[in-house]
Amino acid sequence: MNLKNILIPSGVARPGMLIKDAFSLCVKHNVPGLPYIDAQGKLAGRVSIRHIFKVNCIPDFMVDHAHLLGDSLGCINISKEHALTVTDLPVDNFVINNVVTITPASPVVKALAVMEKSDVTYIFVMENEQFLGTVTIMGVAKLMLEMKDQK
Amino acid sequence: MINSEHLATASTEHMLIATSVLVVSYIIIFSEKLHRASAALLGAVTMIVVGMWFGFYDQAKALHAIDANTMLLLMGMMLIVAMIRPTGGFEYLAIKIAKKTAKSPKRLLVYLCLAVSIISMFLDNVTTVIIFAPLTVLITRLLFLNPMPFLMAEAMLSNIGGIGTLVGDPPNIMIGSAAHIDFTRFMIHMVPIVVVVWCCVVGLVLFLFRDNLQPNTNTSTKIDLDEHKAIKDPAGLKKILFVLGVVIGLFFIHHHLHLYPSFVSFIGIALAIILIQPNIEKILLEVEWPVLLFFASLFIIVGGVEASGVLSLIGNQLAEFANDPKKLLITAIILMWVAAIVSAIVDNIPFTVTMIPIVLGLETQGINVTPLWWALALGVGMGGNGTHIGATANIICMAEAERCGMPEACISPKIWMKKGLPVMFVSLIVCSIVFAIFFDFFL
Repeated sequence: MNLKNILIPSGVARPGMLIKDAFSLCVKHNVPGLPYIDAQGKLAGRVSIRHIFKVNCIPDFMVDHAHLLGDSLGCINISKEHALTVTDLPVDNFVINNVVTITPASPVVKALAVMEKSDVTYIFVMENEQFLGTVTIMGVAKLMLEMKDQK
Repeated sequence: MINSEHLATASTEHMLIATSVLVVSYIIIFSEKLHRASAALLGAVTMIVVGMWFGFYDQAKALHAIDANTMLLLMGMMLIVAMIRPTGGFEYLAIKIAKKTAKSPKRLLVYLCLAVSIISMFLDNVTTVIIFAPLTVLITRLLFLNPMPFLMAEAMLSNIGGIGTLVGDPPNIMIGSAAHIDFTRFMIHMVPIVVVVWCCVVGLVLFLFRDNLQPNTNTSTKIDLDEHKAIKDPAGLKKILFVLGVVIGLFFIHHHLHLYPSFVSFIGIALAIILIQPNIEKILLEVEWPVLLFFASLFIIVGGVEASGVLSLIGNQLAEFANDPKKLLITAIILMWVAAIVSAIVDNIPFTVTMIPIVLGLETQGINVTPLWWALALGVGMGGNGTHIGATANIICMAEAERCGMPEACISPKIWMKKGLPVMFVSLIVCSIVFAIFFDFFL
């Protein structure tokens, strides 16, 4: 199994990019996050949809007690206005420094192991400090299904 | 003659060295440049090394200085709390209270604080606040209320509730262990005064936050939370509550059975191991080892100062004043206020650990130190409410208020002092009056 077959050339987030543009890229390529490339062209972190939601949209006290919540949440519903404001913010303040990468030569099982270890569902493929694309857990599942079909 | 002069010089030198190590250690602890456990550990090792070098302290004395009953009781209660916490019982209680009192913010505050105070009497108040604070934010947000008064009141009243029993607060455990005060005697002496202070503080809190506690007439008072989903393991909850009941029951009679309070907590843990069969490795990870290391290190540091003779010297000076029975009440009240003011500014544990051998020294000179123990426990407990750094529960509630994302709910150090200092001073005034009126009871 080779990573090249499931590599998604998703594009990158750069300093000053707005959240709505990052979301747009993620939705277009069906990836949960983008690599953040700094002004010097180096990988400096990642921009994750889940992290942006967590920081901007879900209060911690709701997360802590999510299992107790009913459907009438009154004033703590996320307003439409708030959601629209958030998407106009630059991504720079929401970059996660913890980023894991692999090379295109890495076996799929290594990608799975690194994702499991880092508790993420996607990983960036880099070669000579250049971003080649993203491998997602869905891509690995797709690859497995294709292999089964070929048999 | 030369020999006694030489001894006196050596003794003064020992006192100076030991005091220097203590002062430097406390400065590093209070400055928070290092984790307090690391700072205390460095201080403890330094005290033993210099003590051995100059011949006034050694490893055996250092080990002897650690109060095993205090350490094991703290550890035992931490283990019991670690088994209660995941059951969801506290969450169930908080939601039930909220649903019953949702229509009146004042009633909600009083009942939540009552629950927090009662739980804090028997279990660690920091854990109680860690569980109640995020739920309080959720409940108040559902009711369109500002969580700030609720969070501050919970922290303050849990601190006050903890003063009521031997196991409610770490200083109480230390005082009880050093003074051989049993659980029942501690409770009989402290609960009445704590109840009076509690009522006064609740009244004061309702007054101080009167603007934030008006019911919202235009909004719903429905709390859409399912308390039944809070309880993750009903059978486990029943078993651990049974264990807690046994432990509290044994606390009341431990002195008749000649059981150390620490051993009582370990009887509870043994019973829990049989009934619940918890994952012991997971439970042990929940023990606050840095706290235990901090306490053990402080005992060693103060043990070194005691061995150098400084504390006896201070005790001798105080004895001349406290020896007069008429001045004993004044001494106790001064101790209470000094303890409170110091505890409002810095960690109350180092102060308590330092004061204990001084009071014990007074006892050896024939002074009735019993009222001093009560005064010390009241002072270090009440002082914690004065500032945001006075107690760990305060810091947790401040952090929770900041996390909730409402600018008007944020509790700045200035806001805390504005509300906390009146609470501290009213508590101390009430304590001093009750103490003075019923002084014979505290003898």
